[in-house]
Amino acid sequence: MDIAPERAIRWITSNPAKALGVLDQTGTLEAGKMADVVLWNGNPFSVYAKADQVYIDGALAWDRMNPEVNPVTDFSLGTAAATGGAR
Amino acid sequence: MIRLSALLAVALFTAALAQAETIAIVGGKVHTVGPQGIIESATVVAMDGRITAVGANAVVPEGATVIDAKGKTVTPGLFAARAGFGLGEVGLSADPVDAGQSGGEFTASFDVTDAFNPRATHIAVNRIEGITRALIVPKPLVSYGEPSTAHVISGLGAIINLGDPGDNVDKRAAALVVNLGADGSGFAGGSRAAALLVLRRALDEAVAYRDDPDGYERDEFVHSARDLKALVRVLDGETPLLVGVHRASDIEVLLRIVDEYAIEAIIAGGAEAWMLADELAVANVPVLLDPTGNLPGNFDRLNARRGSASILVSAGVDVGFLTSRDATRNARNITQQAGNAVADGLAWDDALRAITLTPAEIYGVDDAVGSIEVGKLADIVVWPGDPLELTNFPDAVIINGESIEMVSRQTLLRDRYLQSGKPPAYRR
Repeated sequence: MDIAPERAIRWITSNPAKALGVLDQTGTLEAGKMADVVLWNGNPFSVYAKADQVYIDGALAWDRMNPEVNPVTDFSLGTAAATGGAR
Repeated sequence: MIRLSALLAVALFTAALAQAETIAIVGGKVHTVGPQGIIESATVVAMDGRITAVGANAVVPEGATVIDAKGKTVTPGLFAARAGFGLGEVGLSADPVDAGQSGGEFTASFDVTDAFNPRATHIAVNRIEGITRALIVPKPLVSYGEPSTAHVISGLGAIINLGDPGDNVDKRAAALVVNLGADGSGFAGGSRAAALLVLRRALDEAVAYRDDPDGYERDEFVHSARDLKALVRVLDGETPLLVGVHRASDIEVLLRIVDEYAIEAIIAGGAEAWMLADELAVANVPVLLDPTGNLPGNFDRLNARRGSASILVSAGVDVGFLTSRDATRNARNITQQAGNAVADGLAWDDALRAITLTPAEIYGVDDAVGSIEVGKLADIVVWPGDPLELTNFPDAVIINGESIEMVSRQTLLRDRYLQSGKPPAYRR
């Protein structure tokens, strides 16, 4: 099936916002809406795609290049996976 | 004494000789995953089930069915390293799911191969997306809300091909499934130490049985002679253990057992395997993992992370991929996993190897499948572009030298419901 990317992206952006009744606040990139924005390192539908930066309400919530910005849950604090060490 | 195990070990791999089809795939970029590496524009010839020529100047035989692959990508058929193909249709229906069994009678000798149904609906669903071979495995039968009667040792798996129904079983007793860690603990009475004890006791009994089969007295052994014969194959290096385990400390104990009994083991799961990458490389223990499984779903997986595959491969560990959830209908998602592993640092060629040649090597069938090489069985996939990209689906799939029909129940339903007009039951 040929589904255009510009159509499929609506399934995970504007359509859920519409269904939840918040399309006037988010779900598209439009002046006046909440600044919920993702910067991708390439085509977001690629298996190799990564979110470089994620903004929620205009605040930087994730920065792939700058791990100090990123959250660590209480649960993961101090684990090898979170600190990058293997022991 | 005739060894039953030797008979079970026979690898069939009979190419369908009745079909004398000759196929030439012409002009594609061929990733052989073999000694010929990547060939920018090559012809691959398959005759009587096997690959007979690979190269830029390979001659197309007279009368061959030609598949034009110009501008396309050609890879070996994909190998699902752990799947539930042919062992049930729908999990939560009245229809039997044959992958597991409960009760005390069989453990190591329980062989799912005899339940394998090559006509199961999901086989076509997977093969039209490029899966041509798989290890099918038993899995613990868990009844929610009731005490578990599943076993630490689930039983034997087999290598199968996804060709048209016929000779679909390639190798029986290709792996013996064992559950350690949190799962094994549940089956052994509440402690992971008990699960390890169950495994040790089974191996100890097999050692005693191998040394003196005539001295076997049923009352003195927990396992039946049938189970012990399957376990002797493990001791003899004919059947590797496929061990479901995540936690680093459990993997450390497993490595001691592998060393102590001089057996082969493969880790399935391995969320924390990256922490022991060097030890696994030295012990030559491969890891099958889900590279997208980066959440600490339980305390066995506290250190689950992205990038495990890349760390393990860099250390010299053989890595394959498995789908941690639905390994039946969605075993086909190994291309997504391979692609995500590339995004997390794994080299692209290593990712393709992880879903083709590496599983074939792990299960000892790389003499027959896993790469595009003259003499191997012709399992070949033609892709419109990068096979790891989610939006690319095969243009053609060849299994045992035969082009399969690119139709599944899903494509039939899709085509029916894309039409309008008459009620659905009147559409084809």
